Amino acid sequence: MSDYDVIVIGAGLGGLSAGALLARQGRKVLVLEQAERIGGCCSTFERDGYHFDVGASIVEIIQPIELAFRLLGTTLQEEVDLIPCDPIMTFIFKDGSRVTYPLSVEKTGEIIASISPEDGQRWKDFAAFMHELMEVTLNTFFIEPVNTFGDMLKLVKKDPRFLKFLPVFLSSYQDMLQRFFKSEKVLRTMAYQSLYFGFPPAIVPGPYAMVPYSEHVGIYYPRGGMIKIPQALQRVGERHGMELRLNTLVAKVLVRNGRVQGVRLADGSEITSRVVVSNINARTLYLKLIGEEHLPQLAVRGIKSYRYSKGVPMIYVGLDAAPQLEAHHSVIAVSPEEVNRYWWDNVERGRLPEETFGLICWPTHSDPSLAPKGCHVLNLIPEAFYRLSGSDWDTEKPRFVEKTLNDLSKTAIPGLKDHVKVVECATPLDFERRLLLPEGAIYALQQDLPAMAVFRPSAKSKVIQGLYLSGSTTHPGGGVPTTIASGIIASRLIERYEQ
Amino acid sequence: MFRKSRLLSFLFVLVLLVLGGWLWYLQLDEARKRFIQNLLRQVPDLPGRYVI
Repeated sequence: MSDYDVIVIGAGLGGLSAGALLARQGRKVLVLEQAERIGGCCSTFERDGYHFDVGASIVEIIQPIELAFRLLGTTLQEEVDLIPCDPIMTFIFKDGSRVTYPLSVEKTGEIIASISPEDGQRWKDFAAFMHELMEVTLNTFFIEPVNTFGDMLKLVKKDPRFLKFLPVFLSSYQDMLQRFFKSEKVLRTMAYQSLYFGFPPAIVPGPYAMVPYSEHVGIYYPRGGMIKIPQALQRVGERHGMELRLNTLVAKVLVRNGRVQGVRLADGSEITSRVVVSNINARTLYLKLIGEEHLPQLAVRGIKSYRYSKGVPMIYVGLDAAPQLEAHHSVIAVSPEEVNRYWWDNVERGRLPEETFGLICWPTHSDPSLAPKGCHVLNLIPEAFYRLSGSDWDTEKPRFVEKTLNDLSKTAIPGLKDHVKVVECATPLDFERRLLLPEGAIYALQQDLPAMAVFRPSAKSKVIQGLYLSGSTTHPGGGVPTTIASGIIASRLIERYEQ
Repeated sequence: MFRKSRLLSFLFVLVLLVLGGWLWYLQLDEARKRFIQNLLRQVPDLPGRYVI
């Protein structure tokens, strides 16, 4: 007799959704989290009255999240107060000029047409194409297991239109954008978003080019901070009997005769279960928590072949006045070629970029309650990475923060430095230490075509019986809706295979 | 004799395919070349990734 039916390692979104759904199935579920807070990258902390989001900054493509709460016998709207964001994004160009896209697809088309009449027309074609792609993939690819080629065929059977979009999977994000848009300025409003998937536009697979459209279907901010989403999953899961322990580090997954038996904690104690759901990085899981001795040689080669996804620094800024911005999100506009060059000249060589660019999140634009009255919160995500040539993040951090604030004060957020009251920075090295994300990898593993779908670590382990994966390390990859979808997939697989 | 001529035909078609593929690759822009290079570089890793 095991202590629990299921042990979930990691209270990120994937682990919590899997744990809650499994508890809803009537299983005795224990979720173990090494940190003092739930949510992983989708969390919120407080400093001097300012509330900062750890990583994730908004929610979009909410259908998988709605599905998770429906399966839990409630609704997303009942559990989380989602504030719609409109306008959705401001693009700040090097000359200081700005373009802001509203939520409306039509009005965005008019703005694009004012930049380039031809691209304004093409925006309509792009939106129609991406709308159908989104409809098909949300009904198939993003909510179904894709562990084998047989699973891929089932997707086609479920929605034959999936075949029509297969060529999109064999093209890049940049190919898809350039297929529709010609204007350099318009392309500059869509290139940066490829980095949401951890690669430059030349490498990110084509389907993700739906993001410049999908943002117009709706982006939302949870009132009270991003942590409200994992908190809702925890609350609903606990209603169904799920247990959660914080500050509890799992040191080993116990395996005997190719099947999981439970886990050993860092304090040496053991908890038994016939099923383990791992919501941590698959490389850490297989190579450290399980050990090569339990794996076939080919599987060891496979798991070692993955590169970690990119890590980014976050700078959390509390202000005593409103920043000169227009939207919840702003981006320093960059062309596809500039992002590609940044990748190969800077990321691959470990050289920090000379010019600051990245995402500026202004959560108090949507939810003023995150800061003291009249004050504001900014979460800055200046592009950078884990490996620095000839230096390290502990050395670079103060200089990096100073440079970022100086650069942004010049054109993007005039006067920024004069209003800073609180400033903190989490570098990729800090994320590695605090959240145990190897190399600060926010999406766990690389997210390019050779690491997608059947080539991403399987949600139902093919080498260890009773082991299931959730989170960004498995299909469908990193992001708020996708990691929650991974929890749905894991819970459905366990329902099917573990009686 | 017959087998030898079939082999030669096969090799001829293979050479044409490789040459055609190479010429197609050469005319691609830098971004598309990077996309292809990234895929090809990881082909040896795919069997191991599939069994995990």
